[in-house]
Amino acid sequence: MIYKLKDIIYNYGSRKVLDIKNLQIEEGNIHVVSGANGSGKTTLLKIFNALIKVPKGIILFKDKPVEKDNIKLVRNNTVYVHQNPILFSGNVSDNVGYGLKIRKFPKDKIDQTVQQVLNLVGLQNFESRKSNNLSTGEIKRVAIARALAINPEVLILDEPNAHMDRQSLEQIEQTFKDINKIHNTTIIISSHDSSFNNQIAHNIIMLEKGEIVS
Amino acid sequence: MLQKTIMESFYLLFSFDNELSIIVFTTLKIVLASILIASLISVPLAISISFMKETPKKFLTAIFNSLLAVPTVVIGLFVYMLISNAGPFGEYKLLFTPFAIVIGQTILAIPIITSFILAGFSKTDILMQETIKTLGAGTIEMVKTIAVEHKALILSSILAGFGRVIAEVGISMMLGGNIRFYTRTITTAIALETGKGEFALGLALGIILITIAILVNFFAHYSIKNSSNLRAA
Repeated sequence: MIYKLKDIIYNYGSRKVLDIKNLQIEEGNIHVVSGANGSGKTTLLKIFNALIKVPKGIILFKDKPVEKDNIKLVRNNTVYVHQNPILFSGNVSDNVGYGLKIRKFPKDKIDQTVQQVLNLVGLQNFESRKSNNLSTGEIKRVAIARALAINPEVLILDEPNAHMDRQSLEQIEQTFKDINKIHNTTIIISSHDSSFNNQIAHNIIMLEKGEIVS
Repeated sequence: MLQKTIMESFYLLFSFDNELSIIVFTTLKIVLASILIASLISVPLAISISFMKETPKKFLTAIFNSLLAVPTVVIGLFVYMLISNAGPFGEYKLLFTPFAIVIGQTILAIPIITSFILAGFSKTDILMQETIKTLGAGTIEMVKTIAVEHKALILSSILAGFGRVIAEVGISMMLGGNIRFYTRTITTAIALETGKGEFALGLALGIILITIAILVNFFAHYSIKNSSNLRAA
């Protein structure tokens, strides 16, 4: 199990957002977190990436508690893509290569990886396109490519299928399946599109008012 | 009389009068040094505050906003007490030197630059911080990226500080002493010349001050207009 969560409680003010008694995420599978708006999907996904600190409960990542000393372990091996991601200024290549640049990869390796991941998300020849000259769907795909570039063990995506046309969606769906199969990447996706969920998921986690119902 | 004064002031301007040139050069030298130091402190400070949790962030933002209202003479008085002969730093003989003005003007500029940057940060910055974090950046890389992404905001905040500092008179007068060819700045010279009834030099300096202020504002406007913002899906 790559993640083990036990007795997680997360409140936003007086409102209970998450109350998870027990959750285990198996390595190498595609997991879909589903549920209505406000059911706690985004909060759970951010917990997986240590973007949110949980005041109560135990979270283990690769059997190590997600605490201050292990945050780096989580961040180096997982990446989270927002529902409405932002791109940095510059061009698509600068954005996709960002994670590799801060990891001090050589420029030729960065260029090669950027090209590969852009091909994967169907954005061939987009390297020099300015990031402020892209459509909403293209921004999402660049953000996914940016996450893929660092070759994470766990790819966490918040509603990647929102605002995407059918063709892009099919391509992204296939990309997730390929990455999962080839690199054995664990993928955790939040989505309330049941046909997408059934197409892609090995496991569906159903949330209702912050609690796992199935 | 007014016509004669205007003619004389333009003569001083276009004849590149030596005293006028030295005053302008001294002013720019002091102001640029103050703004450079203030920026090096304020930019990382503002970004660090933006990382904080809601309560300390609100508290510090309120403090810096309140500091905007501190009169220059109070800053002058505070620094004067520190660097005068009887003060803790009296032995360094800083009083009535350009460096004394730089200290005072830096203190004046820090809350301006910090507050303006903080006011410009919006909710998208939380998204941005999370994006940078999730991609594996450390603190230094995060500060660097945020600074680059907010370059227009930071530049306009620095220019706002520049505009305030170049126009102040209290600090320059109290800490610099308005010494000819040494600490006399545009504003202290205008105050002196007006007091003496010598309006021509004062008016010429006033024209230079206004010209600098307009140029700085145009530059700020241009830089903001030409800087792209964050692209969100």
